[in-house]
Amino acid sequence: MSNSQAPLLNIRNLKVVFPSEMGIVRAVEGIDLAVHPGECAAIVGESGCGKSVTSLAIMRLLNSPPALIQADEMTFDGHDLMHMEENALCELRGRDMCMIFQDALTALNPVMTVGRQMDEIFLRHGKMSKKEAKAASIQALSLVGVPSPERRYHDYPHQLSGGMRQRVLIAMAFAVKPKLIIADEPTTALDVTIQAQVLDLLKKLQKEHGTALILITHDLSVVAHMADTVHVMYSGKIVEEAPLRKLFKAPCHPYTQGLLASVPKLDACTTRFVQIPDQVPNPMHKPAGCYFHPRCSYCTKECQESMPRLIELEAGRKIRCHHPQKEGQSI
Amino acid sequence: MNKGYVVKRILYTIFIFLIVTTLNFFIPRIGVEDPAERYYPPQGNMSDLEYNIIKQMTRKQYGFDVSTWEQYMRYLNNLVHGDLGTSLQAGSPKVVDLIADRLPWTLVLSVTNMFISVLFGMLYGTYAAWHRGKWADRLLMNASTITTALPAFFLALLFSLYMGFEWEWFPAYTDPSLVSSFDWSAQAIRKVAQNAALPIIAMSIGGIVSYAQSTRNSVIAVSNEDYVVTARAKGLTTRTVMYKHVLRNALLPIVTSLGMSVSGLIGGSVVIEQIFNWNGMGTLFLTANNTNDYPLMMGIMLFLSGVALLGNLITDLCYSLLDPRVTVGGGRR
Repeated sequence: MSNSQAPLLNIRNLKVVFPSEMGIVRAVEGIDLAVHPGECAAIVGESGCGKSVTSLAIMRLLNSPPALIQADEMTFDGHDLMHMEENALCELRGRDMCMIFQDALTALNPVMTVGRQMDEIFLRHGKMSKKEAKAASIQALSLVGVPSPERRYHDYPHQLSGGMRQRVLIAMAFAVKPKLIIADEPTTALDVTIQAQVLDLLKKLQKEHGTALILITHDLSVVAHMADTVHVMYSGKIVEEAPLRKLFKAPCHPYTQGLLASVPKLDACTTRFVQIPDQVPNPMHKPAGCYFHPRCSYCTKECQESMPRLIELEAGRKIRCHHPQKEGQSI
Repeated sequence: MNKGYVVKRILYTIFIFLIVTTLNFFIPRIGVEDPAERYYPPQGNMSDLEYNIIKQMTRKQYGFDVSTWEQYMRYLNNLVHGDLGTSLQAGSPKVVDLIADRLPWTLVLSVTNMFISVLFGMLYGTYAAWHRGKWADRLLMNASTITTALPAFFLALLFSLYMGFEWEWFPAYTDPSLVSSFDWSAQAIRKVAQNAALPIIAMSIGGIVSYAQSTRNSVIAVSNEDYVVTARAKGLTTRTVMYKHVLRNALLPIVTSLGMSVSGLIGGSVVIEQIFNWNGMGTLFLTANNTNDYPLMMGIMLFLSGVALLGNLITDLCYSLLDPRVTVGGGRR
């Protein structure tokens, strides 16, 4: 990965806040993210850590109000996403940046045929006639491996299987060859065998088109399969950032270590799952100091009092911890 | 649309209608004494022989001289030929003719009301949902509280009193000659419109608010659906997303409530018609009830049930056109 190139998407200090009557939910608290052309960046974290909100904020799809979005910088392919007019954003969405959603059943309009929903993209961005759009849709469907695409074109979403629906969403995302695709838990709703097929498809298309991909997931096996760089997110902050291999080989943050340890291993003779004690903090009442300290076995007084800064250990490798670990040892 | 589904729905509707006719025939016969005794009570100066003859004649006239089973068969036979019986009113008019005379006058009120309610309700509801939390939306919230507390007949009384008698904007009370003198001239039509104004306003205020309320809620619910986010992520403009993805889904439940209210088109304005002395089905039904005119009551009841069933049938068929998930037996294809 040539990181000398200018990043396609560059985000500095992105914050998303939801004010509510019960209190303020700080969903995303200052995230930095740089994605280069053709790169796959994974954002990993538990439910409620702010991954999906981040992705919607990048697409500028969060409804505001209620959401309040702020960033020092959010540029995509030379466009300043923070200060763009809605019209210009509409031009960008679907053409240069696309999204693949988690639950393909709810992400497709139930009263519109799959084909017509695909046509919409070509009609909007492809400058095509209806006939051309139909041909393009059928071709896109066959490209993602939907059998008998001419027939499926006229089907409604509920007539397709789960894996097929996810393929349709992927076909829609790659339709006009965007520069960036954000995939929000693209395989979570699928069973494992279909999951692997869909991931392979996603990876194949990404490589073929040279698309940059932001993969949002909680599933480390998906990350291992797909990602180039990994950003581990915890309670609205990035706690560790590293190239894939380095992260899996030697995780430095206790939370990342916990995540990796909790993946069941085939070769180890463990009888119980390893798990991180306790739960993700309530986003309305986050603990003082490091957000992870109540669940951390290396917690000290310093951790309870001050939030560690994101420090660069080595090139491309950052960590937010007072006591970064290296292969079980404090550095 | 699936042809089998349509046939099935129609057969089902006919089956229900047969049950309705049966109930309609038997229920009035439970506990009702001999109609002859009811309508021609014995007079003091009448001999038994004379009275018996009168009784026989009356029973024959109303078809009570044969067994109940035969009466039922005769009733069904008449029904098939579009005969709902003879009213007991002076001059023995046919029930069908009475209904046919009054029906257009009721429809003038109720269809106009439904049209106004649905049109303005949906427009306003969509606008309120689109500008959620702004003044239009808040106004709708408050209005729904008020219209729930103030039923149409109360509004009708207020309007009749103030706009009719007090300020004389519109006729407070329908001129009885309106019906008999109607001749399709421009003047007659204008007179009908003037007289219909107050009842229609009184009826449609609640209708507009309730349709607006359900449209608003439905549009807001659909706006939060994932597929709306997908549509926006495709780069579709806000307008396209609204018309193609939100409204079609949001209006599905409204279509249902529309079909349900078809039955109310004919029987729903009894009180309003009474308040404004409007010569429609409502007043006809009240007259039938007050004079124990059984054939007329039965006829109206059957007619109302038929219209309600037809309304439901049309709703179901429309729904299956609008929502591809609805097919045979409600199952999934």
